[in-house]
Amino acid sequence: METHYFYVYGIVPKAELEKTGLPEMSGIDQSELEEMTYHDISAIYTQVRKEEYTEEELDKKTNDLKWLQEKAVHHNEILSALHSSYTTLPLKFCTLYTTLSSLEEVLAEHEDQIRSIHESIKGKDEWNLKIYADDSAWEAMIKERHPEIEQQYKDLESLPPGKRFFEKKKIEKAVKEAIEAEKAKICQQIHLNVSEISDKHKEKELLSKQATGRSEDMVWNGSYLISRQAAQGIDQLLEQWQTTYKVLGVYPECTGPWPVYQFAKLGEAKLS
Amino acid sequence: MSEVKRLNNEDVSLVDILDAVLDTGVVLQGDLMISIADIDLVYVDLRLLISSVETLNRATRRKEIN
Repeated sequence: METHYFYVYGIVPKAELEKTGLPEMSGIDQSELEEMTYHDISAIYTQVRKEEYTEEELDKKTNDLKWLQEKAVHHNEILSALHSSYTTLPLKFCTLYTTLSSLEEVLAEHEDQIRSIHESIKGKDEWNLKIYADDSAWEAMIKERHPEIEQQYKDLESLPPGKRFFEKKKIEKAVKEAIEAEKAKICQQIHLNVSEISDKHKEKELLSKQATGRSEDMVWNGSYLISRQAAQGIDQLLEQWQTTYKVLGVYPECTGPWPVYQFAKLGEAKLS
Repeated sequence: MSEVKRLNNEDVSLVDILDAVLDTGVVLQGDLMISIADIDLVYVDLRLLISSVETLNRATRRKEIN
């Protein structure tokens, strides 16, 4: 009877692994990192105590924010270390196999796809772009750009109270729409700048203020697959955005280089 | 405010890490495999964790491989 399960972080080409060997880091349950090689690909895993990682136990644990935080950070730490040394196909957070032979079966079944993913992500990193915007800066700016709005507000004073209320709402709605349109235009421009140096990109769901803990709204969230050479242009782009958009209360933030979490997809190379 | 936050410095926030890690990566489906349900960050209240971000940032500093 097995007493351990096998938590797999990712899959790397055996030839690259042989050059440097595995990093000396502890796995998610404090055991060391190990490798299992099948032909020319190697899965990097760590052993975990079976009783701690059953499906029921994991369901409970993933509802515990503190556990989630600690382990997601750990998962990223290991994958970032692997990614900085090898072409790494990252597996989903908390992927476990109950036996090593089941892991081997999976490698055997998918080896061609894994190889072709390695080929497509070699020398590339994931970069994440999140844009935050502060609406108060926009309201002032919209009024400045559209002097007729001020006049419209002045005109309200001559209206009877009931009508004034509805007309005021109308103006506010128009201002809000103008702000949204301007913000969308800027996001699109920034996104285009990064897309130009990217191989692939993916638009992600916007996160609420509750999730980000910030006072500004998130107005863009995207991931980009960028070659190491092209990524050298990112600093220059950010500098350019800083000069252009900061005064507008638009703050693009770029993080990276990440392991290619979003861009290693089995489906794209699926074999029948 | 707009500058590249490289993963090997201490600036990357918890939300950046969770957004990158959760519900991403490849699923290599096997018969004897255990996986977790998708976790949608949109519904997670990270304010509860913001106070511990400083500790977290220290933890995320990339370790050198050698």
